[in-house]
This record gives sequence, C-alpha cells and structure tokens, in this order.
Amino acid sequence: MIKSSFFEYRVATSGLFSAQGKLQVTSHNIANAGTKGYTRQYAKQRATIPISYRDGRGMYGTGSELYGIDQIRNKHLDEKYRNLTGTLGEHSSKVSQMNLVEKAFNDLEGNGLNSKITEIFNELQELSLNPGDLTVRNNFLTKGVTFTELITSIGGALEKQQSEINNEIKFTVERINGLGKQISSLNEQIKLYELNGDKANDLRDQRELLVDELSGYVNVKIREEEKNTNFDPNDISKGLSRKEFIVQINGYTFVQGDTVNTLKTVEREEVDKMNPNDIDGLYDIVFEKSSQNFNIYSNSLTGSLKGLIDARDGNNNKHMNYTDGINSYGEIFKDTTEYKGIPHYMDKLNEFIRVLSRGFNEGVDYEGNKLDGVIGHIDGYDLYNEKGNTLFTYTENGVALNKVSSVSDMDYSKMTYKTFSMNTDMLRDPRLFSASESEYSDESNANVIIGFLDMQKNRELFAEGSIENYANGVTIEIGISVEQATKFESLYTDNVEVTENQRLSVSGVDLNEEMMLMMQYQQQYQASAKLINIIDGIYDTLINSIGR
Amino acid sequence: MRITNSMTQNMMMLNINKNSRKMFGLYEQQASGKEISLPSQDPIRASRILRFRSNLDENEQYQRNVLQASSWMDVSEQAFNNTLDILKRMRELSVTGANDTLEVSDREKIANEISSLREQLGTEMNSTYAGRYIFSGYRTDREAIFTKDNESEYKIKQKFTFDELENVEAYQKFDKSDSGKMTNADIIKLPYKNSENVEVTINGNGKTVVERSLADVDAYEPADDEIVYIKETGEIVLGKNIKNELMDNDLEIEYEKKGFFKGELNPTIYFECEDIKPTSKEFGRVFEIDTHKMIYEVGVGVSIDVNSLGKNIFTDKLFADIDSLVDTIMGVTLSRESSLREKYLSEGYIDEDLEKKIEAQIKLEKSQISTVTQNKFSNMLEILDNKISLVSTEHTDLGSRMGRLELIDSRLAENGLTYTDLLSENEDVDYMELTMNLMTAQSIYQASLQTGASLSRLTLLDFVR
Repeated sequence: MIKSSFFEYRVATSGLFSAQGKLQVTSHNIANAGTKGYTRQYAKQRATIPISYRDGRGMYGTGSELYGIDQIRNKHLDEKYRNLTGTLGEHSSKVSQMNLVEKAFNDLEGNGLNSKITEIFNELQELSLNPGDLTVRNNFLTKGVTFTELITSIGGALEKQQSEINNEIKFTVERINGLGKQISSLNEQIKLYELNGDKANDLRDQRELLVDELSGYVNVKIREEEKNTNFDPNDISKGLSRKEFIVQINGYTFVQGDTVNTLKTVEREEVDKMNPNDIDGLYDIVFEKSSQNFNIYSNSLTGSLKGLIDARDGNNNKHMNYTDGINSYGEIFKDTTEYKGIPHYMDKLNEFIRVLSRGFNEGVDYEGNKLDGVIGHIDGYDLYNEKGNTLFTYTENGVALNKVSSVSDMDYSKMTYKTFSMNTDMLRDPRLFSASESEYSDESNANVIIGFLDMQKNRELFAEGSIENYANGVTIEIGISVEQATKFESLYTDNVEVTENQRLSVSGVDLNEEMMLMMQYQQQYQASAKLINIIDGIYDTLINSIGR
Repeated sequence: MRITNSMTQNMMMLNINKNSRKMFGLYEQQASGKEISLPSQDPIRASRILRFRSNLDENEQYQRNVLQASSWMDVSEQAFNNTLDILKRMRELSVTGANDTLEVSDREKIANEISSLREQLGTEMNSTYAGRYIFSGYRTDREAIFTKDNESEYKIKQKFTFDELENVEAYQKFDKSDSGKMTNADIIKLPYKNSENVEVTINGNGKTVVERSLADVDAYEPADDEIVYIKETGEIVLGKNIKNELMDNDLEIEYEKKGFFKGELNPTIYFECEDIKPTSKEFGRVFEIDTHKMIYEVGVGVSIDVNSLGKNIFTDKLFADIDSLVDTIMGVTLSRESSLREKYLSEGYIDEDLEKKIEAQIKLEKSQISTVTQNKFSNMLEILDNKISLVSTEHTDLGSRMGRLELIDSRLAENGLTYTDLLSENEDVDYMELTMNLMTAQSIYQASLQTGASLSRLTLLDFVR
C-alpha cells in the first residue's frame, strides 16, 4: 500500500481530536469535582490501526483515537461501604431512639426510680418514729403519689417514644419506596442509553448514590444481569443490549429493572400484638401488591430500619414474671428480637411496681414467698383498728381497687405503669395507713413500718436482689445498652469514613491530577497543532516552492 | 494510594468534628460540674454514683433518726434522775418514820410529804416528748397515771405469785372485848380501791371471795379456806389453806373498776384489761400486755430500742405500798372515830359512855398503832431500797443505750463524710484536671482548624501560569 499524500495531516489531526476529547473529559471531571457520588471518568484512547509498508518492512502508525469513556469504580468497596453504612444506620438510630428512653430512666439528677423510692423509705423512717402523726403520714403519702406519678410519666415517655419510632418506621418505608422508584426510573434510562453497549456513566453514578442511601435504611444487595446473552458491542446483528439492574432489600427483590415492588405499612391488629404493653397501631410492613410479609424480625436485617424495629419491638426474646404472656385473645405473646427495646423496659417497669406493691401489700417476694419480718399492709391495722387494705394498687376503669377482703382479690397482672396508683381512700384519710400489726393499733405501734424498712434492704424481694439493685439495675442496663450503641456508632462512623475514603481514593476527582492531565493534554494539543503547522510548511514547500 | 480532594476534606471534617465533640463534652462537664450526666457516658461509674447517693440519703435519714432517738432518751433520762431523787427523799422520810420516838402526828406529817412525793412520781411517769407519753409503750397517747378523775370502766386481770404475798401486821381494830388486836394476815394488795366483782382463780379453779369492810371484826381473820376482799383498802386477805395452795400455783385475780381518781394508775398501760364501759369508743377492746419496744433504725441492720416501759420502772406495787402506808397512818385514826361511834351506838351505848369508850379505845389503838406504823415504815424502807436499785438498773440500761447511740452517731457522721467523698470523687469534676484537658482540647481543635484551612487552600493551580 502506498502512503497517500496528506496522510500526516490525518495523523496529526487525530492527535488534535483525541487531545481535545480528553480535555473535554478532564473538564467534565473538574466541573464535577464537588458532585456527590461522582466517579472520575477517563477517555479510553488507543492507537488507530497501522498500515504496513508495501515491501513489508514495517508499519506506519496512523494516529490515535478515543474509543470510549469509562469510569473508575471498585464494586468490592461499594459493597463494603454499604454493609458498613447499614450497620452504622442501625446503631445511630438506636442511639438516638434509646437516648430518650435512657433520659426517662435517668437517676443521676436524683429524679429517677431509686431516688424516689429512697424518698419513700426515708419518709417511712420518719413515720416509724411518729407512726400516729397525721402530718408525717401525709408526707409519706405525698411521696408515694410522687412515685406513682414518676412511674406513670416514665411509662408515658416510653409509649410516646414507641409511637414516635412507629411514625419514623412509616417515614422510612416511604423513603425506601421513593428510592426504589428513583432507581427504577434510572434503570429505564440507563438501559436505553446503553442499548448498543455504551456506558451511561453519570446516570450510573446517580443510581449508585441512591443505592448508597438505601443501604443506610435497609440491607441492600445489587446485581446487574445482561438478559441478551449473545450481546456483542461489536456485532449489532447479535441484538441490542438488555441490561437488568436488580436491587434486593432484606433478601426480597425490591427493584427489578423498571418495576418496583413497593412496601406498605399496615397497622397491627390488637390480636397480633407482640408485647402486652405495646401501644395501638404499630406498623407491620408488607409488599403492596402481593401483600407478602416483609419480615422485620429477620436476623439479617440491618440499617436504620433494623434500629427502629429493635427499639420499638425488642423484648429480649422473653417476657417478665407476672406478665402471664397471654393476651386478651388467648394468644401467646411472641418473641421479637433479642434487643432490649422499649417493650423490655415497659416490662421491667411493670415488674418493678408489681413486685414492690406486692411486697408492701402482702409482705412477699417476687415468687410469692413470705419475707422474713415483713408484715404486709393488708395484714396491718389502721388507726380505726380496722384491718388494712391495699397500700399500692391499680385502677380499673379509672377506679382504684382500694378495699380487698383477701390478697387473692388482686390481679397484679392488671397493674401497669398506666393503672398504678396509691390507695385513694388513704390519700383522703391518712388514718387508714395500717402501721400496727395488732388489731388495736396504738399510737406508737410501728411494726408494719419496721417490716417495710427491713424490706428495703431485703435481697430476696426481687430476683435481681433488693429494690435498689433492681431500680439501679434498670438504669444501668439501659445506660450500658446506649453506651454500647454509641461506641458502635462511633466505630462504624470511622469505618464508613475509611471505606468512603478508599472509594474516593479510587473514584474521586483530584484537582491536581486533573490539572496535570490538563496540561499534558494541552501540550499534546499544542504539539499536534504545531505538527499540522509543520506539515503545512512541508506541503507549502512541496507544492509552492518545488517545481516553480 | 491516591489522595483526592474530597478525601482530605472528609478527613478534615471528621477530625474537626471529633475534636469539637470532645470539646463540647468538656464544656458540658465544666458547666454542670458533673463528670457524667447520663448513665451511658460511663455505666459502671453511674452505678457507683447511684449507690453512693442512696447510701448518703439513707445515712442522712439515720442521722435524723439518731437525733430523735437521743432527744427521746434525754427526756427519759431526766425523768429517771428526778425519779431517783424522789425515791431517795422517800427513803429518807421512811428512815425518819421508822424511828420509834415519833409521835403519830409526826408520822402523819411524814405521810403527807410522802403522799405529795407520790404525786410527783406520777408527774415523772407522765413525762412527754413532742406530746407523746414516753413511758406508755406504744400507747403514747395515753397517760400512765391519770391526771383527772374520770368515769372509765375496765375489767382488770392480774396474776400473783407466792412471792408477792405479803404478811402484814394488820391492826384488827375491834373485837367483842372492845380492845384492839394485832393480827398477822397474808394479803395481796390490789392497785385500786373500791373494785367490784372480784374473782379469784387458782390453777383454773374459781374461788369464792367474801367481801368485808374494815369495820368488820374478822376483816383480817379469814377462815382457813376463805378469801376476803376489803373494798376500802383494796386488800385481798387469804386464808391459810389458800395460802398453801398458792405455794405451787399462780393466783389470778379479775376485777372490775369503775371510775378512777386523779393519781391512779391507768390500767391500759399497766394491766391486761378490757374496756367494759358500753358507751366507750373502745368498748370491748382487750388491752394486752406486750413488750412494746419502740425500735428506731439507725443504720443498715442496726436498730436501737429507745423507750423504757413505765410498768417496768414504777410497778403498780410501789404505788399500792405507798398508798397503804399513807392510808394506814392517815386513815386508820381518822376514819376510825366515825365507825367506832356507829358501832358503839348500834350496841346501845349512851352518849357519855360512848365518848369515854371511844377515847379509851383510841388511846389504846394509838399505842399499838405506833408499832404498826413504825413497822410500816421499816417495810417501806425495804421496798424503796429494792425500787431504787430497780430504777438504777433501768437507768443504767438507758445510759448504756445512750452510749451506744452516741457511738452510732459518730459512726454515721464518719460514714456521711466517706460517702460524700466517694460520691464527689466519682461524680464531681476535678476542675484543675478539666481546665488542663479543656485547654489541650482547645489547642488541638485550633490546630485541626488551621491544618484544614491550609490543606484546602493550595492547589496546583496556584503555581500554574
């Protein structure tokens, strides 16, 4: 083959074009240096097909060409990043949700369970010195009421928190749906752009960004399948590319190409309540079209959704004593997750007041065994020489159960932080407090009170030990749980950041680098232009000067 | 590894964030003065703080209890001191009274003083602390000695043993021969006079009780199987066989007493009794005799009895003895004249004879009564000695409890300091350390800001023209 004239022009021009093309990519990179989720792009450049000398002595290079624009992305890092983001989301939402529960129980300021109980017993001490004194009796009752109010307010705070988490679950589900819809529409666009094997880099970046966000809410798995197995970008006859992008959340297929399997929250029926104290209207999650259950208690679930579910429903996979474990429909309450969420602390609170009240009323421990030296209030006698009644009780339909003829009249499973109350008759008439163990109560007979004071330190009262052991135990238990979540949060924040930086190290735009490239491409451009100039000179000489 | 712009920015933000979070925590500590405000910041320390806090609260309560206990005991001690003074004065008077050179009138004066001292004893028995009678056991709303005449009615039950039996020289005032006679009688003194429906049971067997008056000649001379109740003195005289029966068995006496005078014992404090006044609010209530210990808790598992029981200190016996002494001296001569007159009149004496007879009789009696009263005083001396040693024992017991309380008090004060220290160590901010930490944190924060600023300022662009 004979080298044609003006061949050098073409070679030089190809250099000019490829330099220009690369500059364009560079400028796109620089322009998007601050774009979230943007992945550095690069132009794929190669030498064009050379031509050989006629006599087979070698080959002429024919210049360069750009044959595609690709991006630099590491799938492995993406997956790692998303796993970590999911765990981070779980722990952050636990920290922020359980923090409020921790505050409700906090006793470090002297306003918590143990402080108020200590106040009650200090008043009982005073009362043991002056058992007949109505002022002291009133003081004691006032402390008792303060205590019942504290219990009600802690319980109320727990319920409010449960309701707020419930709402947040609804929002989260809506957000997940929204992300699914955006991903599916991007899938559609990307598919169209990539029919013949191109790569829609910027759209892909947007999609990856949405998957990143999704992974904070729920555990995500993605995969991309080429449905046209024969597809060959270089052979149109094999058909067009049909790529399908699939997003799985919590093991369920959520987005498949351009279809989204949207989720829906449905209010749980009374009969399906997982915990006896759960508020009404807790949401379960199902798939909108198939009504298939989205298993929120799955062990593999992560993300902030997991954090919310754990905080809302976590019952440590068991129910407390006195919680008979059966709801009003005869259904057995179910295990949810091992996490100690709000239902666990509701149970703890109820168990606390039940055992405590039973101790005060009947002088028995958590298993119903008689406590040494403790005379129940019911077995005492008041200042009217009448047999004692309840001291701490519960309300039914707003009416406190004050009078009982025997201990079996009381059903402690009806006592919750909502129904907890002092004997309201006694609040009206402090003489009804039964301080005396003997039928005719004498002014200074304080034997019932002295028994109560013994009970305060009795380590048999609760399975966990004394009153103080139990009350502080709850406060510390939640403290440890929040501390742990906080530590995890900070650990995973670091891990996510490190992984993000690893990704950025691969995919991020570095301005210095781009500028180096820019200068390089500029020089390439200038050199190519100079070449044309020179070739121009050569041809000028050849055409105009030679043969004149 | 490529370091891209976003990486440096991310890293910078993360570090600045960390530093400022640390500083925020330190500021919070500085403002609150507490190292932690939520258990999750340091659960182990939080549990320690909670424990020390309730220890401290309880300790303060125990200190208040000690204060009340010691006030109560102070009042008791004062009463003990006064009581001992009174008893000692009584003893002095009894020594004088036992002197055989004394005239009856002198003894009457002594009896008068003893009688007023008895009243003072009653006042001490009714000592109060904050409006509560300290010697009345749990029944702190009831006085131990009545301070007013009243119409209460009680059925009282008492037990006596052989040892409590007294052999007294009763002066049997009259017999047929018109001469006074000394009789030895075995008697039991009831704390009240003029009781009704006296029933005596020995070993579960009811005995017949004959009621006689002082004027009856055989008041102090019961038949061998007889039990005599003398209403005016509240004495129960036992016949020989009854006395013998008592050697092995307890004697139970049940009687009704309606209406009490000022200075008499309140039976609800002293005896097992039953309210039998139908109009009473407590009609039918049985008052048991219990230990009635008032226990104040003054530490974890540490408690102290604060009260002394009146009935252990001033037994009903003492009052009965004093009353009998006073009565013998005062009453015998005075009430006698009218009964004498009545008796002789009924026997048909005329006025002139009567006066002579009475005069002679009284003269006779006085000579004998001197012996009787002298003996009474000697007896009294013995009783008082016993009583003084009994009260001293109770006083010592109280003293030792007060001593123990003082030890407990100083122990509590020490504990209070320890708990405060421990609490403060765990809870309070060490300002010196905090200030140092804060300054360090501030400089680190500033450094991180500076580094960040210079990192993102320069690019290659700055050097390219």
